[in-house]
Amino acid sequence: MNAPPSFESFLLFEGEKKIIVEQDTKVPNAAIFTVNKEDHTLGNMIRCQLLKDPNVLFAGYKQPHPLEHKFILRIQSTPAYSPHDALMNAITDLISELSLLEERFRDAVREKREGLE
Amino acid sequence: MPYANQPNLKLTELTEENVKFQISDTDLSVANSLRRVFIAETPTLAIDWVQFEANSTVLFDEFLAHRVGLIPLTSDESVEKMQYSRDCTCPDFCVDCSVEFTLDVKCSEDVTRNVTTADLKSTDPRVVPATSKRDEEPPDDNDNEILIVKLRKGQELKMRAYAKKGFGKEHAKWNPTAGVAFEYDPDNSLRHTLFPKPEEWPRSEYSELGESDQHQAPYDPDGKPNKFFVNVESCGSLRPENIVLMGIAILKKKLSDLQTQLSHEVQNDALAIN
Repeated sequence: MNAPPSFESFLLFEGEKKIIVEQDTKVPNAAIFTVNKEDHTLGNMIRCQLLKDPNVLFAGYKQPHPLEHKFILRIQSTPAYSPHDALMNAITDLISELSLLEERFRDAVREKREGLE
Repeated sequence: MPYANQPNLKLTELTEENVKFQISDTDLSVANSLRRVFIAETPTLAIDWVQFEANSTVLFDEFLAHRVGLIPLTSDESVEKMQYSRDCTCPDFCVDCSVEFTLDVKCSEDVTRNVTTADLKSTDPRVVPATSKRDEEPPDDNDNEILIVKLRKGQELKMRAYAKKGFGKEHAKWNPTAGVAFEYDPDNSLRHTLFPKPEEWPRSEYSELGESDQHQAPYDPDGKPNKFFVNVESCGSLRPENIVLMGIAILKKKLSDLQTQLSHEVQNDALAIN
């Protein structure tokens, strides 16, 4: 009866931004990113990639409530680096990894097809 | 690419319905995100708008509309070229954002008339209800057609429908997979699962223990999940290799859109401060 429409889990509201950046004042070089209309599919992947970067001191994400479709990502980096750069690099690395995977999958499918014929 | 993984892929099986592969040298989070994307974010076509002209069947309108929406439609060639209906510039529906279907059956004999997917007529020959024997043998027997409703003498069903592009997150009818089997660490060397009695559990098909007496591999405290065994089974709407390729493309697009929005956001902040 009160169920919200299912497209609300991925369509942004009017005027809602996809990502909001806030500086975290409690510690130096930390920021909190709020990503709207996304879930663990992106959140976990980005967090894991951030943890691989030695210049990242803290990386964690959570979904504040399962009925609200967003997650917050907190990143703290070393003074020479900024959390924003860390996030950009992490996303770039993930995209390159997926591109490599896609290429290898296409090659594997082609070889399999040629092997069958 | 400072800290990116270089994943390796080994394709073990490729049929009309299944694709089995193993990914290694990547993270558990990436493999899991791929699994989630195959199920919930890979777009297909499914009927999403139904108008009834006549329905004297035993099932009410919404029941029939629900059933017809669940029918898998072959989306391989068309779904990538189509737009989502909410993004399309046309006022109602057009060829770019939808495919029209009609169903017109009246039972005039004494015998029960089965209304199946064979009666659902499409305006686009590339988008038809998916049944098992598509390109192989001709339809000798109509056993594989999906039954929609049965009609008695005098009952009629006449309706128009539009199929739209969508993905599993919005409704399960747009899910292209029948199931995604996902496994890692078949011999439990990471002890991510704690069995009270390991001997009770059947051995995995990917196990490397073979005939030995061991039921679990010895504990490896520094191990990380590295090799993932995936089996994507399609329901017929997309070919399994297309599910994987489109899924990876969708995941890349989500990441790059996020990157663009992030750079806009930081630019705006920089402008506001200055």
